[in-house]
Amino acid sequence: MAESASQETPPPGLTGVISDWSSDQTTFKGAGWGKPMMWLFILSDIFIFGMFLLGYMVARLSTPDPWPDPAEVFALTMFGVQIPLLLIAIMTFILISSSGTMALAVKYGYERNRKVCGRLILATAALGAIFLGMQAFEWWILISDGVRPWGNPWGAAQFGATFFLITGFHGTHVTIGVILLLYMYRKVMRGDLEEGRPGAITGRKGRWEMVEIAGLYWHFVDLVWVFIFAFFYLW
Amino acid sequence: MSDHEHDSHSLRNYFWVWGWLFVLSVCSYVVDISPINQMLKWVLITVFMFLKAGMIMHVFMHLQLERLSLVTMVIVPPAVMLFALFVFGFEGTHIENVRENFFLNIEFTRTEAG
Repeated sequence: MAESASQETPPPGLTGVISDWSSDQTTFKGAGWGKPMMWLFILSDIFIFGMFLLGYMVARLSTPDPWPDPAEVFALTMFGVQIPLLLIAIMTFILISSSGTMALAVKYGYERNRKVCGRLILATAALGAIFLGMQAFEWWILISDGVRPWGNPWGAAQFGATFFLITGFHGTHVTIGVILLLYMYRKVMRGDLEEGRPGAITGRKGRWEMVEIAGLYWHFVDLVWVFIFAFFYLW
Repeated sequence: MSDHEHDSHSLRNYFWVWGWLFVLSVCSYVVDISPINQMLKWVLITVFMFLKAGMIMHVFMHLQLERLSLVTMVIVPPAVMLFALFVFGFEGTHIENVRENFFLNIEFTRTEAG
């Protein structure tokens, strides 16, 4: 009886949600354990970044001092012309591109195309590293302009605190992602995922699902940037 | 299921989303530097932002292939945070008013007292 119930294909839609959660078994049917765990981690990270952005909103709303205009603060002078937000725009395009190459890497991973998958992962890591370099450059410009967590030359003192906190935390996530992707590149190219070779850190056997899980993390980093780009730089 | 999975893994699908992410980013940048009404600007930027986030989660993060149990687990808790957005929004505005009305003139009261 119990066996036949587990072999049935679970119902779709809202009925499926209720039956999945009340099944007294694995809740996330057909998803293994790795993917739901990464999603749970992402959910907790969404809360962290969500609270950072909410805190930024309160700081910006509650200060009577004028908020520095990001379009002017992050402008770059190129060939004698001041272009607003140029560096940020380029960083955004680089991160979106890295998300695209990662999505393709996952696709070729599922097609068991080891070489193409590995190269796309490496391209993603490279784009992430370029993004980090540009962010370091951006911090350097701002710090030389006199922006500190406790003040800046243009207005509300909270600007520096929220800027360094939010972009710094996002940059840390990108750094961890680049390291994770380089590690995954080595695993893919060496054939660990096909052979099920145990990993060096956890000793778990290599599976192709690992590429998708690493991809989930990387897309999440891009997702956070979408929100930071809109709320911090454009608003 | 396998047919659907094959469809959503097609190259065309990924490049289409990739392209739209570029287009929407350009749009929000153009909106930001254009001289339109500030309120309209904020609305457009937020709409573009949610479109981009939705496409990344739906296609790139494969939520379109997951069961609704996982999708609701991911979507519902952050949506509840929108409530905090309104609460903190009111609070932030209130604190700004308090500061404007009672704290910015503190030097004035001091000189009067001393």
